Amino acid sequence: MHNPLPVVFTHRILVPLWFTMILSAVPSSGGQTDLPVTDRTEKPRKSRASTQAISFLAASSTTEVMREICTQFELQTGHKVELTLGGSASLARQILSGAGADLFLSANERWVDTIAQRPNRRGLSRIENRINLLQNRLVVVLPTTASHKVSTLQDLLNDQIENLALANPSVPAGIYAREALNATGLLDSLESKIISGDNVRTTLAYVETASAQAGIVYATDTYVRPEKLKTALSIPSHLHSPINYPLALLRHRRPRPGAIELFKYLQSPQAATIYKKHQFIVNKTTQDFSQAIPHTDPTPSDKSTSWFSSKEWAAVKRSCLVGFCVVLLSLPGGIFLGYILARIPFRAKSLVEVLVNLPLVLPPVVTGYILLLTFNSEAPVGQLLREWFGIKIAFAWPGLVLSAAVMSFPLMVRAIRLGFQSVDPRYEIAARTLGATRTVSFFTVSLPLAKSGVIAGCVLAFARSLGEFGATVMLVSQRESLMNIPLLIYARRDEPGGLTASWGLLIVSLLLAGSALAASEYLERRGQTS
Amino acid sequence: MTLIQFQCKHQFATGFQLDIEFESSHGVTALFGQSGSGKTSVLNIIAGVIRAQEALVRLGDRVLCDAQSGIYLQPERRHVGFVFQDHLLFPHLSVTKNLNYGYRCRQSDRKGKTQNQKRAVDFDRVVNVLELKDLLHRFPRNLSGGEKQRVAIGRALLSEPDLLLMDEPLAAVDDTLKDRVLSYFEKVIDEWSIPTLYVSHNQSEVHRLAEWVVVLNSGKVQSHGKPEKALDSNVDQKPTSNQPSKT
Repeated sequence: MHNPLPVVFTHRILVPLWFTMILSAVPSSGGQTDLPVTDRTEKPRKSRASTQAISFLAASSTTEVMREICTQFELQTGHKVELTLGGSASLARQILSGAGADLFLSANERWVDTIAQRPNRRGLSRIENRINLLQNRLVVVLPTTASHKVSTLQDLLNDQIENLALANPSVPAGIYAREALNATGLLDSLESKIISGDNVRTTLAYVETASAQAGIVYATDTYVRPEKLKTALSIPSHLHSPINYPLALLRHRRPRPGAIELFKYLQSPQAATIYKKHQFIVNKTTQDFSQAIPHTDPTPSDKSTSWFSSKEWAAVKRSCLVGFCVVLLSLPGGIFLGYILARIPFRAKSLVEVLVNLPLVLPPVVTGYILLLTFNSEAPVGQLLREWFGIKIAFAWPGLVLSAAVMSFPLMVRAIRLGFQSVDPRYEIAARTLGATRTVSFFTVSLPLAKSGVIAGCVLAFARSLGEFGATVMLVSQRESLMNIPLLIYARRDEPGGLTASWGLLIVSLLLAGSALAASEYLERRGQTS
Repeated sequence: MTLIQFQCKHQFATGFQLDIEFESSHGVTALFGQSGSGKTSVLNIIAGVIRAQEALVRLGDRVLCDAQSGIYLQPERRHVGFVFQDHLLFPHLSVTKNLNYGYRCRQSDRKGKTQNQKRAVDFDRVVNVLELKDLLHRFPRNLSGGEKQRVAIGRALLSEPDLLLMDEPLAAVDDTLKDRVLSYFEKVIDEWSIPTLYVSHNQSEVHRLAEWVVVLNSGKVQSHGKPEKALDSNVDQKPTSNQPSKT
């Protein structure tokens, strides 16, 4: 004789098990599993929040050069560097919200000043040392195919130039370019031609693809794709404020070993040769660091040409893991809410419905922003989680799960609710008259009958988590060790040849989404025929 | 001895008023009346599916609910077997599991009290009497209407109820099969003599099964007594067997 009530007898064990599973599935915030044992011992309770890799935030205009230097530094010293590239403003905001970076290379001094002037609060990074590492200049670039010539800034008025690409006025490159145009009195007459890229790389992409017939970018950016771009004109540096790249050594509660070494290495002659190769002007004050570190030959650049490098693979695995965690985490709540929304009338029902469905209609970025405001390590909730449980949400692994969970929860609840609504509530009444308590009848009758809805909810939530971008980019930002599939594709956009390299990811995304749907179809059909 | 005592006043949201009082000490009591006379509501109140505003339900020496002293037993604690008009067999469970559902629930309920108590209603006996042997491994969707109703009766029996409630159990059964199913009911009543409340609007069923009839009309008791007497006393509005089944 079979036991018709398996769930009832085990659910008391299942629920705690559920949470244990999730906790053990979440890797430490850096995604590194091979942490040295010694560093874990000082505060075991908070070990989850620590990363052993040196966290280096650098302005995106230094992408290639910093990748090259960091690779060299890692090879020579054995330290790991987690390089996060982005607009100076967004990097600075990460530091201000407690991202716990060790080094920050900004493309303008203003943001470093902002961090320096920040009132010193517990748990926040402050600047320990600061130097002006690099200088840059602006150039006018044209697509290699262009027939027109630009030998002075006035030539930009030429009719052949329909669009002039500048960086957004919110990023330094955009500010400097506008300063230069303003100084020559051209800004007003050029205004109608200007198209703004949201950073230097996008600006460059406009020119590369000849969507713009000219662009003003950093001299260093022209190095990236010599075959697509030609430098027409160097803009005299007196026309704009000096373009300095200040490097800040930050100090926070748990300084990582090697940060100071990297700080010094960035000022060494070895680094200087790389800067020069990439057209940066090196400030004279750099020190000799060659004594400290044995010199080895620089490794070839890390530009990946393969379709599916380890980075892509990591992003796919990360996305899937996030998807599974989201499903496991949301399922108990999803079933509970789906059930009470389908079956039990209560006063605050419409309020609950609005709250659950809000992320569905809010712009994901707004949802992400709300999450960031709630969970950054300065906010009360974020602080509490961090101090009591050692869980860091913003700019960390749990943030990936949280943002994806919030975004996919409405879809899950919706599907599960429909599942319960399709089950005649009188089956439960029949079960009750046969002696089943409310709980037993739920687990043995309603839940199994609503199975297809529950499965559909899980698949939807999983698929939605794979594709989560808007809220995640706000809460976690674009950090190399925390990129899911869409974030990586988006980040690739800013790299030379990056979109071609994303083909592999596109195919994997299609496969994942397709197989998730197929699996749910199959399970549903099997559920109907059994 | 009074087997069942029922008193209730209830106003439904639709405006329908129920004001019913009856007692019965007979094995099979029929609730007879037209659609909408409140028969099913009476069963729902006894089973605890509807919570009436004012109600007193007594089953032998047990009080199922008593609004005055605030007693209200949950449906699962009433030990009342409900046979629904549309049987409500669990579609995801096999016939065996459907039959055993109530027994398993009661067993896990009894846990720790009286272990290994002998089954008051024997599984094999039920299977024999209702001739369910060939159906045991099937699923409800592969059963005919009559078969479903036999399984439903078996399921209610095996939950070891103190009272069987049958809500027009033949309404969803083909006319040609009604007679056969009815004879199964008679066998069940003979075999286990569980007090039964049988709701119907069909005179011949009532005549055949019931020892006592309570005639309901628009939420009130119109008459009660032996079938011959009670049914004959309201010839004017005699419901016929040709009437379409209740929706």
